[in-house]
Amino acid sequence: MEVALDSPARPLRASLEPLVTAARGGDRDAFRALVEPHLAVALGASTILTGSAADGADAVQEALLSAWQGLDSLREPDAFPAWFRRHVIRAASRTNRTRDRGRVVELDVSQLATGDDLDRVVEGRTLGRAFDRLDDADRLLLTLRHVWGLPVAESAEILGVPEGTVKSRVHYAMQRLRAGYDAEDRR
Amino acid sequence: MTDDFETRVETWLSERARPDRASLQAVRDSIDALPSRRQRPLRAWLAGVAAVVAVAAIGLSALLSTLPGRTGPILPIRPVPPDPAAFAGDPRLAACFGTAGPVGFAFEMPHARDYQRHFPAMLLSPELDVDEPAFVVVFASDAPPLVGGARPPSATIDPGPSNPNERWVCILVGGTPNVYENVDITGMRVDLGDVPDASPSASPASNPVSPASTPTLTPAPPPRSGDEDPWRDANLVHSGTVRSSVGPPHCGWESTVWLHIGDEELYFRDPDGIFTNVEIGAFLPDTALPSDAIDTGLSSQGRQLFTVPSRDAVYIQTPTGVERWPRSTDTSIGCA
Repeated sequence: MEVALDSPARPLRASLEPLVTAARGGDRDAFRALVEPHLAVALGASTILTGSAADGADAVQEALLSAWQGLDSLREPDAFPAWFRRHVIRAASRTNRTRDRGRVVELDVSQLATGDDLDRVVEGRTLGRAFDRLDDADRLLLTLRHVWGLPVAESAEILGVPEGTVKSRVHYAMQRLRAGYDAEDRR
Repeated sequence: MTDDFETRVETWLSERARPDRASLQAVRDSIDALPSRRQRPLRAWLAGVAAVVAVAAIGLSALLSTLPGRTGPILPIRPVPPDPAAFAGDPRLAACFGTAGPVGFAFEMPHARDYQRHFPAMLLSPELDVDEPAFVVVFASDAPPLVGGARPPSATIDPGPSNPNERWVCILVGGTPNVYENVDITGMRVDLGDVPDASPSASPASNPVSPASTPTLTPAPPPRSGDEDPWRDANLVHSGTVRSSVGPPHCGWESTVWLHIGDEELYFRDPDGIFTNVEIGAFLPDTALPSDAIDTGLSSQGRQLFTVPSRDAVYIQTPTGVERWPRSTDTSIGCA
């Protein structure tokens, strides 16, 4: 099929404004359509941040509630994804504050060990322990980067620090994770 | 650190972050259980604002009526924040342990989420990422350790060499005191004004607080990229061991200057506090030359280089003052 070169380009992404407006009016389906594309990664990131699938799910549900009730404070409808991400981060942080730290990350060994890749299972468990011993700031940084896949600029905006600071903090977070991993590995 | 390790971490994180179907469905289902949205009618909001204004007006009127005469100054001259005396008797001071130890500064933040604009060197504290106003108490450097209150691990910095700008800080949000240990208050700002960061043209209100114990972040002329002019002795002979260069721009570190002495010592000019995690003490843009400073006899671009016996920092004398460039505990720095 030939495409006329002068045909108007289709917008890559529809504006979220109609959905946000409908959701503000109490339309639950509109809200569902807004959050659905982000739920899986939000749940994954929240699980990483809280160190537990159950806590992660609780935090996302809390984020859904706060986002639903706080829609009036969203100034730019098309910024909904980043705005919702902040709700998830806040909810996960709250969850972390209300329970004891120092737990070992739950690992679904049954999933990892379906084959004979025992080394992978052991490494995953070791990484999990080392990751859980990082402080909240390091865990958030690595989650923003490697789970949400955010560019440095967006991470910097979320954290309220210059981009260079994000880069150096990621560098040192990874160093600390490596040191923790080596320490766990020597046990 | 090897790239291989980072790749393994990425793989592990992506596996770990893959939610199971049941959890995802449970989260989806929770949308149906959300309560009806609370909508705030504009009229009710305006009525609330009007009521607050009316109460404030009545209070002010009552206060004025108790003052003797109207010819003198209407209101007494009061201390101005961040002087803690400005909040004497304020219940927020007590709620933030302001009566538990000597207080250096106290002030209000219009929005708690701006904490890193008020304290540029403070580490991430997601619990403060809220719109609510906050009340801040910065304890004096000789304050004893505080007991009580939340102390999120994210807000503390790694224990390390003593930093004269590290203080206990309490930030009261919605009645909850958040207490932080070892907050680096370098560059603290009480009033952000309309200017988001330090600037030579910033109004006095937006300038950093500058008591003797709190260095200010004085912006310097932007450094040139790449290597700087060589350091030379009095005979204009290049130093073989001292070299300095601007931080690599691709890492976003171009606001820094890196000064190497040999291969073992690295010092930073770091006005934005990018490397506070590894710096011994703080970068000070305007300080005095220590009494034990040793003139190396080297200079570059009108700056003279001084070392100190502890080797914790170098001091750079410029035509306008003296800067302290802290030493890095890590000489193999790279960005992600």
